[in-house]
Amino acid sequence: MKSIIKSEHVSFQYLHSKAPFLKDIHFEVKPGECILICGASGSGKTSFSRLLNGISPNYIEGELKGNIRTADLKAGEAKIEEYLPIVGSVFQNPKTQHFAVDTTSELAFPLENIGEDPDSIRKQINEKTDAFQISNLLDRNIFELSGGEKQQIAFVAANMLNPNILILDEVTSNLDQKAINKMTQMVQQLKSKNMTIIIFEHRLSWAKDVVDRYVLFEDGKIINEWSAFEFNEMTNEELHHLGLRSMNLSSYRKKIQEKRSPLTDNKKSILQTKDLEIGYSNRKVLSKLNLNFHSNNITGLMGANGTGKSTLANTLTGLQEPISGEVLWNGEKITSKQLIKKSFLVMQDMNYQLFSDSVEDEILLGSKYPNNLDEVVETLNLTPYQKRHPMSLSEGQKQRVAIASAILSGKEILIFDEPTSGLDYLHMKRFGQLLERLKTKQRVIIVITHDEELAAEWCDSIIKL
Amino acid sequence: MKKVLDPRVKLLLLILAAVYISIQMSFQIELLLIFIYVGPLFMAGLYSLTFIFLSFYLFQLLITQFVVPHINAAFVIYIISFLVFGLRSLLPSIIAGTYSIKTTTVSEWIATFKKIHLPNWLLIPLAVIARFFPTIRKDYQRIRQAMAFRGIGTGFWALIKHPIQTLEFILIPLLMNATKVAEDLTISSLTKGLGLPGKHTSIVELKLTAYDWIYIVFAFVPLALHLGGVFS
Repeated sequence: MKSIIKSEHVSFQYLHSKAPFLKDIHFEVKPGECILICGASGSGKTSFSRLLNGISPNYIEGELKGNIRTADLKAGEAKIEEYLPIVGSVFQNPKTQHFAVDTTSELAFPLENIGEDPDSIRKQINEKTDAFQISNLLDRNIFELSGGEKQQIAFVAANMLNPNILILDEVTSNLDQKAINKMTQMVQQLKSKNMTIIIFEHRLSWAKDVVDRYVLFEDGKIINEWSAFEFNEMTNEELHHLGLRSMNLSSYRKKIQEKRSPLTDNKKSILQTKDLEIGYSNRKVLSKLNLNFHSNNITGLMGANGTGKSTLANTLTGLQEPISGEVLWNGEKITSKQLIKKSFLVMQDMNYQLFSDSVEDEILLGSKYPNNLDEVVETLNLTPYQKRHPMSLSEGQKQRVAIASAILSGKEILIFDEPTSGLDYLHMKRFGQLLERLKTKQRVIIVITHDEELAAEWCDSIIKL
Repeated sequence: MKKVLDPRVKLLLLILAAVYISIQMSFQIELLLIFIYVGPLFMAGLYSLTFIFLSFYLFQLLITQFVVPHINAAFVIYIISFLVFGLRSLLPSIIAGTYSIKTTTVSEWIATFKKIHLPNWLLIPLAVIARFFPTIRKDYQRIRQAMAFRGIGTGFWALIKHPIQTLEFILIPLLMNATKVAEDLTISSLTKGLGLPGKHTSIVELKLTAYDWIYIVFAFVPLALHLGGVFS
């Protein structure tokens, strides 16, 4: 059988970079195969995916050597539009991968662009949303969808033109378990119709029933390949050693159950909520919350999308007033204004949180204890970067800069919003170790997360909403 | 019932607003012009915006009438004249712009641009810009939250007390993100075929209703009155 994707001696060097990022890649896919390409962050997975769907070298430019062919399209020669009917792509970031702002227009968009008749477009949208069981998402504002729902729309939009090949680039990194299950089901549906599917991931467990073959990238090269059978034989430890996440999550799920603290406990704690009711004036999100957050402890906050984790975080950090009830600090009532001074929310997207033009200025901005600068910078391994521009750092480094500034401004409540989504095993572990170092008697640490490995291994107690 | 103008009429209002800036018109015509421009806001149910723009205009009139004649300090005159004269002639553009952004979705803009046969090299960047506004609004909210944690003032007073610093703190992260957002949006539009040659269709139906035709006429009335020398 003729292969549908073929890559021979492929190297790729980004414009303005000094060394090739992808090196001598040999890779072949038969029609109907489902391949999972894994590897640590920065190993070249995303760069390779862009060569398959025409984004590189067409839009994200660079120098391509060797031959890479998707169906009959040769990278570097075919235009980005020629890939449209052949390859469907779903990307990692649900925020900006939609072009329309309402769901129906988003699904119609590719069909409009090939000049389909409006009536036929509506018919095809109905067929597709029925087939994937997401008709309930039609005619909705995309900004109001949950992360999972956004990815479902992106998935169906990528399939509107019935492509032969589907490319999924870390599509589950922001999703909760329910949304991941839905993704698994949608992928299975296409696999049964013999579509060729290439999944780029370091979270492995969700796709294990559909994948035929696993390919490991490291440092821009393919370093190993396994059949599904061989791969399934590997233990979690062996996978971690390769920088990959666990295949079997059952032991983690058990640990999470054990660490779950009852929603109400009577132990005295530094941060408490008393009959707290949170939400918006027109919509209550959660009520009767009597929670305890202890110092010297890492509390994991888990729960499906939409259960009110973010609303709770906003209330605990004083961004949002509670509807009723109280937040107590050391047993005394504390107002939202005081909370905002005491707390710091480390956002998932670090770029909104950095304001200065050097790491040092950033850390000292609004700081209460500037004399501790050296010590904090040292603890967070930021010493070599003090003079750098914060925006030139990696995401993990940016996160540490934000933490450093929070500590120097004497913040006592640190809340992390999905800190490890999209991180490979090694980076997740490093983040866990960092949390461990941040634990003190005067500090409450709360981690909002879907990441079961992080919660099981690094949180001391878990609250499930 | 809430009624919204066809995007093509919105474009006409925007273009004519630019023409009106360059015209030295009489007070009566200006008053009529302002009412014609806030009309669509009211019809679309944006009552608070209608009220804000009308009171802002009234405020400018009152300042011009009662405050300006009594001021002698050149510096104060300079600031006030920017507020009451500069912004006053820009007001129709601001109103039409606000109205267009508030009431038009990205899909409607794209449908409009295709309908008036805009070439692709102009259509794609314009579509990306139209898609930018809702994204930037979300980004702005996040940045303000982040500023609150850092104890950087975000309110009106902070802007008055430290205007440059406050703007810098908002603009730097906003612009830093803008490049990334623009790249992602362009990829998203290209992988979905916005740049394809040939005929494009749209499920957004654009049809000029009686309301639209009335407004096309209305939009020219102040110009006609001015050129005809009425009220001058």
